[in-house]
Amino acid sequence: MKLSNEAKVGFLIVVSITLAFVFAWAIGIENPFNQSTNFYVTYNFAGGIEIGSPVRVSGIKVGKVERIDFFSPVDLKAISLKEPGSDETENGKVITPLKVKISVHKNAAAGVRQDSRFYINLAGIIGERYVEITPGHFKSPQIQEGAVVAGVDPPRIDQLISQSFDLAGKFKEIIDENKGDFTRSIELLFKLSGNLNKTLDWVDKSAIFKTDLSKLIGNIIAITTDIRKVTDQVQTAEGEKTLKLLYQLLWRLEPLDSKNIRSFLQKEGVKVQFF
Amino acid sequence: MSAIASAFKSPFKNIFAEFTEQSAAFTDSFGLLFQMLRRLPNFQSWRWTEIFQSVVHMGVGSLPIIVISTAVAGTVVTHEIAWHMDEALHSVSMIPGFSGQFIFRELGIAIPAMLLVAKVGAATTAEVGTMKITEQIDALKLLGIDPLSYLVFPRFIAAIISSSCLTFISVSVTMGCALAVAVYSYGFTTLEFINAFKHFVGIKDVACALVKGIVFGAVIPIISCAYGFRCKGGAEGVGTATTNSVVAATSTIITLDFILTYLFTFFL
Repeated sequence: MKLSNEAKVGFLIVVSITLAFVFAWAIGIENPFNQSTNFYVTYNFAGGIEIGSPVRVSGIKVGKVERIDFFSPVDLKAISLKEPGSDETENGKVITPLKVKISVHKNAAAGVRQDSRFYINLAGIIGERYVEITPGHFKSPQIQEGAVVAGVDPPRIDQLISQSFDLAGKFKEIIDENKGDFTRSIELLFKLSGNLNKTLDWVDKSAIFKTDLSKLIGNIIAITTDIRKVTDQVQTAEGEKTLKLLYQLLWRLEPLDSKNIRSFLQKEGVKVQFF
Repeated sequence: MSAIASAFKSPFKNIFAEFTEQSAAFTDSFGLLFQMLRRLPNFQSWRWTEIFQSVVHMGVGSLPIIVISTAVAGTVVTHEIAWHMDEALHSVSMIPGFSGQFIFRELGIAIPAMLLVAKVGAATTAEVGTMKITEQIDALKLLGIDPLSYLVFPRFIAAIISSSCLTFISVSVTMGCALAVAVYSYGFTTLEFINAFKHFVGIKDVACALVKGIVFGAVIPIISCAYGFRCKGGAEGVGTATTNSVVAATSTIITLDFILTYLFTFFL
């Protein structure tokens, strides 16, 4: 069967369009009629987030970063969570360094509340950045379309390095200032460890310690063995009976003091002197 | 002394002449592109029979060679990416992302464009050049047929359609081969591959592929026909024009590829 040119062209175009749709499905292009909630998150530092970066709620990808605005004035009342360090202007607006527009699927948007936290996290071995939203409490109102909330700035590695440099500098200063003390302390420690080493060596070599220690250890072993035997016997029925009798005997002997003994002996005609 | 001077003078003269010729052909190409864009909105003047014939010749005719070439390229590139990743990162987990982006942004588009230049561009220049030196174009003019509307415009439209379709087909074939290599050689599952691929390839990459396909498709017949119209002499002239058009079209595609990649990466 010979196909006409029109059929061949039609086949080529249909195949290509089908493949285009397959790719669209494979890369997860969202349905244009699908509803999503858009809102804004402000940051002072976004740590490498970019347009198209994924947005996750409870670790599941549910949206993406749509737009990033720089230094845009935001109504102070509109920001649910105020980040310290923002510059407030006269007319009640704050200039936020970054305002990130986020779209979240409507199903997941139900869990995004005013008290949700908006972190910027790192995923994968090549460090893909994404916005992680922790769901808020259901008592808190849900974030509405176009709302502005403050995000949690990610830690700045450059600042950490800079601060660690400062810290290292201060350590160096302290060491330089107290160099003599540090040296003396180290010398003393060195001497102390030397002396301790010598003492231990002497103890180790000493014949007296060897014999006495071995005897002492032998006695301790014998005592503990005897104690064990006694406790074993006490734990038997006979032992418990004996203990009970002993207790009763002690209880009876308790009122027996020198006065009572004297009166008893006087009754019997015996004269005694107690010291 | 004069012999030495003439020995140096001759190559420079040739280089200058060649440069002038290439510049003129390039200027002609711009003029031809302008003419084609002017004809675009006038749908009634579109010669559908010629367009379909050209699409069959360019698109369907080039399909086997493009499928084979891109399949081999996809397999090789995926193995190469895996090897480099293993060497550098000691992990091959990023194969889907890296190969996907490379295929969508470069490999799946540049290879069909180059093959179209070699197969279709050369044939077009040879055909138009032969028509020029055998005065068939003059005959068309005498018959009241506009050579641009009859020879160039249908090829222009056909090349755009063919190149766009072939771009998607070649990207699909290359991605299929990359998937096969990832699954059979590196232990990926199909779903795993697609999930990882989704994180790296987006609508921008698909749009980039489509735009590049259209632009490259438009460039090929314009340059080929411009060089064909400037063809002089006999069979030798046709050969020279064909060679020059292939070189010019290839260089233009590489340059446009750079410009479009730059635009898509940094501005779109």
